[in-house]
Amino acid sequence: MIVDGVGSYRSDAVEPYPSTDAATPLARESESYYKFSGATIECLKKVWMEPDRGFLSDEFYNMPGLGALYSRASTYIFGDWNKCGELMGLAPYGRREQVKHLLELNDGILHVPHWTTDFKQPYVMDSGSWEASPSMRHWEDLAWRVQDDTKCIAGRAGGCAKPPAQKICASPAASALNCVANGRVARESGFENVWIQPAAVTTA
Amino acid sequence: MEERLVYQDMPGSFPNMNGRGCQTSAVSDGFRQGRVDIHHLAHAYSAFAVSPLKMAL
Repeated sequence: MIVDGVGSYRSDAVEPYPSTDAATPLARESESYYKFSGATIECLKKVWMEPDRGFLSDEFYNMPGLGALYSRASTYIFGDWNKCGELMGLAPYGRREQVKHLLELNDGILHVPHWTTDFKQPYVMDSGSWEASPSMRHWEDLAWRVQDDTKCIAGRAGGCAKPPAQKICASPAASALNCVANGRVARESGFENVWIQPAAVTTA
Repeated sequence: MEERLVYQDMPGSFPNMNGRGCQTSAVSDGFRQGRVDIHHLAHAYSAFAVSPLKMAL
């Protein structure tokens, strides 16, 4: 199971995958599910993120995906899409239920609601001390929400692969560093074994 | 246009693996052929290859 910030464009994906997982050419990989047996690799499913805000705002972190949401929140709080680890570290400082849900799982399909004007306190580079920002409480609460939504959804991660009595091999790039979510997968997804790639990083 | 689509937000995510001793795999074959469009497949392979599992789902 690959849960990534962003992967290849659909137009560039040369590997075979189920034809039912259709998308437009500029959609990006969000989740992929594979089956391994020795040297054989089979793609079971791909979930694509469609461009969300048009060509002039087509950065992947505006797209509706779990990993992309982490990068969107990282950009909002730290001004850097690749600060997802810092976002996870900030989450314990947040208060419960101060921010609306940012991820929803309905009938096994992940939905990422649009980013709204509730989030109008982005960190702006060179705007003063990050630590002393009056937006810090808001940022902490947002980080809590992203982490809480993620771990709640991760516990139901087996939906695609039909556990139990199966094994899972997870490498969701730096998202694999989310120890809380990994724990939920190990305890609640129903898989026989769970392997999390150590030192996961986007270079795969 | 093609380079922009692939690299605009993650330059350097796919280093050139030519000549680094890659043998045979879907991933290394892709690198040898100059492809850089297998991001999730690369993630999947890099996790499974170092895992203790002979089969995985």
